[in-house]
Amino acid sequence: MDFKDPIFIAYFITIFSSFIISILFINIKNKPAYLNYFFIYPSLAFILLLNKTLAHAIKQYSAIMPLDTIQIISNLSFIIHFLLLGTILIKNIELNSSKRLLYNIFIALLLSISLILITKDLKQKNGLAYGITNTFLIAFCLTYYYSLFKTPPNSVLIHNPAFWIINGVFFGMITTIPINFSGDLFFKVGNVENVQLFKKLGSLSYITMHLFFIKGYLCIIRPHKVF
Amino acid sequence: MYNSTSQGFLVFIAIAFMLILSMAVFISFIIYRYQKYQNKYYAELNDLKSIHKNEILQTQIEIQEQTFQNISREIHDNIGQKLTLAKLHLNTTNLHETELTRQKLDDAVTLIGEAITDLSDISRSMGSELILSNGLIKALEFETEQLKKSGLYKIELWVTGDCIFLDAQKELIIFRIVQEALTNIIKHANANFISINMHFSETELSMEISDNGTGFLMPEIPLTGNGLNNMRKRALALHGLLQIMSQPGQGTTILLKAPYV
Repeated sequence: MDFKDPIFIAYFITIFSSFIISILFINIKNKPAYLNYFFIYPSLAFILLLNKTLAHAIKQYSAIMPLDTIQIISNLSFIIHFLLLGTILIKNIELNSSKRLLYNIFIALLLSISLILITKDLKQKNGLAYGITNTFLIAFCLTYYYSLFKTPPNSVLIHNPAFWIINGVFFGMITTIPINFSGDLFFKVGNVENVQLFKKLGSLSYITMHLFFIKGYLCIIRPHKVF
Repeated sequence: MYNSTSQGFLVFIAIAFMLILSMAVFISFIIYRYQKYQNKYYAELNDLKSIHKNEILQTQIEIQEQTFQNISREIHDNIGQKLTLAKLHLNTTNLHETELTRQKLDDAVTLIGEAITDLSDISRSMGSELILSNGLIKALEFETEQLKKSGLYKIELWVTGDCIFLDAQKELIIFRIVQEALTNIIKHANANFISINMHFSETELSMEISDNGTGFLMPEIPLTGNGLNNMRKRALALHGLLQIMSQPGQGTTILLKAPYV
C-alpha cells in the first residue's frame, strides 16, 4: 500500500465521502425506506479501509489487529455486504410475481454463503463464496434492469436513488468478479505487475461503485418526481 | 509501484477508461430505452383513457336514445291511451243525461289522474335525478316497487356487504343495466319471480339478476343482440364483466361485476 499512490488517495477520499454522506443522510426524513440501513455499507467499508490503512501506516499488523482477525472481519463483513446489497436490489425489483421467489433465493444464498464462509476457514479469503455472491448480485441487477421495462414506468430514472446505487453495484460486481472468483490464488501466483494492475482495477471498481452511491444519495435532495 | 510513464500504468488507464466508458454507454442506453418506454407507455395510457372516455360518451348517448324510446313508447301505449279515452269520455258527454255525464266525467278525471301519475313515474324512472339524489339502491328500490305494483311479479332485492357510494355516472350505468335486464324479463322471460342480489365486496360491486322464466339456449340469443349487447357495452364502460347464464325452463341469471376504480 503506497500512500502517495493516486489510486489509493482517490480510493480513500471516495470511501470517506461515501461514509460521510451516508451518515449525513441518516436523519433525512424523505429518503426511501430501502436506504434506512444502507449507511452501514459505506460505514463498514470505511472502517475496514481505515483499519487496513492504519495497520500499514505503522507497519505492524499484529500491533493493531492480527492479519487473521482482519480476514475474519472481512469475511464476516462480506455477509453483511451481500445482505445489504441484495436487500436493496430485491426491494427495488418491482416484479410482484417473482418477488417471493427472489427473496427465497436470496435467503437461501445468504445462509449458504454464511455457512461456506464459517465452516471453511474463516481466516482465508473464500473465492467460491465471493464469486457466487458476485454472480448473484449481478443476476439481481440484471433482473432489476429487466423489471424497469416490465412494470409501469412511474419514476424519473435519473432522479431515482435506487437506479444509481444499483448501477454502482452492477459495475462493482461485474468488474471484480474475476478477482473474487480466484480468491487469493491470483495474488499468490500472478506476476507482480499483473497483481498490481488488478489491485488497482479492483480499487477503481470500488471507487466507481461508491461514487454511484454518492450520486444515489444526492438524488434524495432533489425530490423524486413521480408521474 | 508504477510510475506514470510505465507501460503498466498505461494499461491500467486504458482498461479503466474502457470499463468506465462501457458503463457510461450502458447507463445511457438504459436511460434512453426507459424514456422511450415511458413515452410509449404514457401515450398508450392516454389513448386508453381517451377510448374509455369515448365509450362512456357513446354509452351515455345510447342510454339517452333508449330513454327517449322508452318515454315515447310509454306515452304512446299507456298515457296516450288513457288521455284518448278521457277525451272520448268528454267528447261523448251529453249534458241532458246528468247521471251518465257525471259517470263519464268521473272516469275522465280518474283517467287523467292515472295519466299524471304515470307521467310522474316515467319521469322518475327515466331521469337520473333519483340516482343522483338518492343513490343506486334507492333507485333500484323504486324500480322494483314499480314492478311489484303491476301485480305480475314477486321481486326480491338483497343488498349485502358494506354499501359504497359509487361515482354517479357509474351508478347510472349500473342502474340502466338493471333496467335493461328487467325490461328483457318483462318482454321475453314470462317469469313471475325476479331476484336482484347486490354485494359490495372490497374491490367491486357484484350484482346478480335472476328470474324463473322460460330461459333460453345460450347460442340462440347471441350477445350481439341489441339489448344484451347494450348491457355488455355498459359493463365494459365500467371496466366490468357481464355474464349471462340461461337454460330452457330454468330461468336466466345475469351476473355483473363492476370494480370500484
